[in-house]
Amino acid sequence: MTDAPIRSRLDSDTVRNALLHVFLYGLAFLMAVPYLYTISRSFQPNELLRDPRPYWIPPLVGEPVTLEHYQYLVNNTLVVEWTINTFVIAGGATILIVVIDSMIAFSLTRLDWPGQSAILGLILASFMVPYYMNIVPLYQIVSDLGLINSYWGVILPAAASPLGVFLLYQFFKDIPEEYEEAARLDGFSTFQVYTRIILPLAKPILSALALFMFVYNWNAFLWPLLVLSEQTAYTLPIGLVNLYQGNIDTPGLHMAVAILGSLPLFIVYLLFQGQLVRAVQMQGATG
Amino acid sequence: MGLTERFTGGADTTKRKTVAGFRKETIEGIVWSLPYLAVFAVFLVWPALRGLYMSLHTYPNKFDLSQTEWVGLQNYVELFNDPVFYNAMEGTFLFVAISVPLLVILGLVMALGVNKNVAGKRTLRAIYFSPYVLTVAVVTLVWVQMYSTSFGLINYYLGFIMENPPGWLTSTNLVMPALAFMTVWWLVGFNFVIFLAARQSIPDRLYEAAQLDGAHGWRAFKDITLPQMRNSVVFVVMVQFILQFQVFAQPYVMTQGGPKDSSDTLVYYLYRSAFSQQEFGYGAAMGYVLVAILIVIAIINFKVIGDSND
Amino acid sequence: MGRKSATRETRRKFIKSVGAAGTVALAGCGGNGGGDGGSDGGSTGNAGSDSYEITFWEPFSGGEGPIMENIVQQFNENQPLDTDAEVTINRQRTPWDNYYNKLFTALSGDEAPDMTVMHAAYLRAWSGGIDPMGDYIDTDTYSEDYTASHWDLVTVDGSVNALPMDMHPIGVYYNKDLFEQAGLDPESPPTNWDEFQQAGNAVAENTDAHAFTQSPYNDGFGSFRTWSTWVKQQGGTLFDDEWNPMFDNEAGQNISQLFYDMTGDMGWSQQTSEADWGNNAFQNGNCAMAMNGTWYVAALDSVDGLSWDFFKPTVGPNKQQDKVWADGHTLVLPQKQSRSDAKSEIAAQVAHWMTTANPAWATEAGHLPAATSIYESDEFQNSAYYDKTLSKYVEMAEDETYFYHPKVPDGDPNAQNWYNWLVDIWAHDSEPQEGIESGIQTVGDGISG
Repeated sequence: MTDAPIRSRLDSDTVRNALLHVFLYGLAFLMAVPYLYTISRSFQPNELLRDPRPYWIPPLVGEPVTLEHYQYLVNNTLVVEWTINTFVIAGGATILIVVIDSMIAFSLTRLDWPGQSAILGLILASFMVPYYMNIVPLYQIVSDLGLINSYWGVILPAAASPLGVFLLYQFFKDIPEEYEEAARLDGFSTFQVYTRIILPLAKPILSALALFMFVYNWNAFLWPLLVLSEQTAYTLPIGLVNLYQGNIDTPGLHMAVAILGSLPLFIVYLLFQGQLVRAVQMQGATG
Repeated sequence: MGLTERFTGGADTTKRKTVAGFRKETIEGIVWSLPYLAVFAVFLVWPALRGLYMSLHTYPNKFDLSQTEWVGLQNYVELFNDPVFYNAMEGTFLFVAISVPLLVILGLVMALGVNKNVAGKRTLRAIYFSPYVLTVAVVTLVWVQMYSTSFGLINYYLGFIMENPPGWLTSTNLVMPALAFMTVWWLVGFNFVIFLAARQSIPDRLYEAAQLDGAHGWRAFKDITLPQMRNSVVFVVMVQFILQFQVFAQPYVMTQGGPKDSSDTLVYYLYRSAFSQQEFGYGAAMGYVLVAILIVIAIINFKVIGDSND
Repeated sequence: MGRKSATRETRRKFIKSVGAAGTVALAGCGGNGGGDGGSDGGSTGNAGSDSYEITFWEPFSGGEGPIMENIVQQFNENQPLDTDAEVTINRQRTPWDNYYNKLFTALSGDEAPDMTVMHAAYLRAWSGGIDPMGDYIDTDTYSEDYTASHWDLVTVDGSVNALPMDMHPIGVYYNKDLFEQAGLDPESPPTNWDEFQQAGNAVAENTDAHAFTQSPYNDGFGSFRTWSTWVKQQGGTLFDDEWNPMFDNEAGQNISQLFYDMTGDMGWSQQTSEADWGNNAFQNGNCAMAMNGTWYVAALDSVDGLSWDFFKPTVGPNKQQDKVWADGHTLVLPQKQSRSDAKSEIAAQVAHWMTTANPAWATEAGHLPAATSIYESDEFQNSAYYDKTLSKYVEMAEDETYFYHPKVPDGDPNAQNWYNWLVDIWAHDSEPQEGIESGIQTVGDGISG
């Protein structure tokens, strides 16, 4: 990591640095506005929400805040169940995906066997098939396998997603061969190459994949909705939707649902993001 | 195999000194691929093939899908004579043309920016990524409010500096750009993370070496950063095209394809055909046309951006 | 009927016996597939001392949710059916969004519930997916329990496909304060077109508020409710015998023009396609009149400081007859291989009880009940909304004013995009003629496609 710029070019670099900060933080501010506003609105009573004037911090102008929307949600006892279901489904899918996708990406990039290109081509091509077209046949398969209303009925189709394979394929390709060659000379078996060389080196991208898949499966709505037929089995996004009217007569509740439904994900991200960074720094240092 | 190789950038053909011979590696290769392939075959390939089959049939009784009538390519012919299809295509192309470049470039800029010696990286990273964790229902909810002409945040503030702030979702010209912009806000975090991971895996020594040669700033970017990140760029561009071509939820929830069908998209039309009207044959034909379009785009993508094998 | 029966059942049993990926099934995979297969009283049709679990999907959320929950709970505790068997309703709430998609995919995999809610408008298009109630009940006796309009609502081509639960017609909700401001008498709302026109103009001229919104959600379907009501009042037709849309007949053109004018020359409302525009405006006191359904009462009551009332929507221009749009919730028996005839009969009885023995559905949720007994009950007549809205809806029912949302033979009758052309006209994104033609195209394709 380079230190402070050479003194003689201090001014222009400092200016550039400052501009960079301004740009990045300005962008961040703009990006944060929509959901900061949503968070604020989730604490406002419905009268304020109907007012065309936006209220950012109601107490500052003498208006009330309220917890009523959140209370309404939390008082519904199934929220806990739904959260657990969602953790299981999203977590299960994520783990399964990271494992099997890394295995095949490893096989496609590190091993040599006939038909590799064809398989890869097939996987990529299937990525382009729009999801909605598959729903009815997929449902019939899942039903035939007896997986309706079960976690597996949601997890297994999710694990078929080609995105992870494609992502890991692109990144595994870049891992230099020298590491493996050295390992092989040391007598590492294929399995050891996988676990001791590739996986650690690929940690940042594996973490990224895990993060994406967790988010995606947490938020997945249509497929779990179709497969899960009992309300105790619902995931959080589905369950929460049930609690308010289809139309917007309860705007505060909608906002609270939005926040509450996303909060666990945001927390998971905050916990996870350390993984992304630390791993990367380690790799950069040894590189 | 020429085209497939072009398409896939050629599978890695490293000659490795293995102990046993070629055959062992083949078995290994297949064994390691099997878990994914099993799930893939059952839950993705099979339904997709059923879809292809469906596109060549019609279903006179939607409640008994075993009653089918072979119609060959008739669904496709009908599709190509369908003005709604062309309108949806137009809308989709417009959406993609706006959202994909922004998603890719903005994601790249953010990643490179954050990678520099910037204070508060964690906060920035969190903010850039966080819209991504929101589910589409939430995003549409938030932005319907933001874009509202009578109650929206955007027009409230715009109202201070202009007479008549535009109707973002109510104008046939602005609705697609508005949806695209909202989508960029929502999804750029994905590209950001990937680009950041890619950027951070470029060894510093490359930059140090370049610095000694007197190359930094733009030169370093052009000669080191971009080439080293090529695989991730290919990935991101490809994925974004595929995903954004399939845009559905935003127009479905926010505008129902309006006003005046100006925000209709291919997958939304597919959804209406396959689900709402249960015309599976027709919907499936649409799906495969979309696949064909995406394959063409994929090929172009690989040709233009190419693939680094070293 | 799904005659894929034999092969599907054997195939499924085969796959199950081969030990397919363990069903990590959750709390009681209620009453489908394996469990019920042979165990409930096969073909004897006589409910002995068996027990039946009726799986029931319902999409009611918001305020209606707890009411339905209560009804089911009452049933399970009190066992009101005239049978020795123990009958439990296994109620599962499903989200309203994608409700029919879910039902459809479930049917495609034979995983549908034993009983579910369906809008009356779907009873023809979905007749291939449900077992008609008429097959399991004594239609003559049952028909006496419901009003003629309601019984009519669920009878399709001579077959009683469902049992009616409620009807939700539309009417005009108005803001009494704005009426006063405009110089109108808030206690005597319009009863015909002239008075309606007068009222609207008064509001437009004398106040800052808008006069009217055709649907508070500014959506296609809501707009169609209003539009079709006034078209029918002018004697127009919506579809011909072959289900070709007739939107461009004279009445259709007139009302489309009316929509266009309301936001144009008449100055009654804003030219916008923005979702929920009318709802915001009405609840904020910026719009004097809103055409909406029976369900609006709960929402309006939750707004502080809104003084509202209601009048019948029989105020269309050049009216030849009193006609008002209505649709209703009904209970149906989806097709299900594993549901025996005996069970279907029980389920039908459950549906009968649910729709005839529960005034709360009407009194608390504001719907128009289907059962004559409820109409005549004190509970109903003394309910909160009776004076303001329900009594007027009842009058219209007695006068047989209602026409039903067209029960198209195919397609999705509630699809928003079938009616978006009306919003386009309202917002001046389309000329009336243009919009009508687009509507005819879309709906025609949707039905025939």
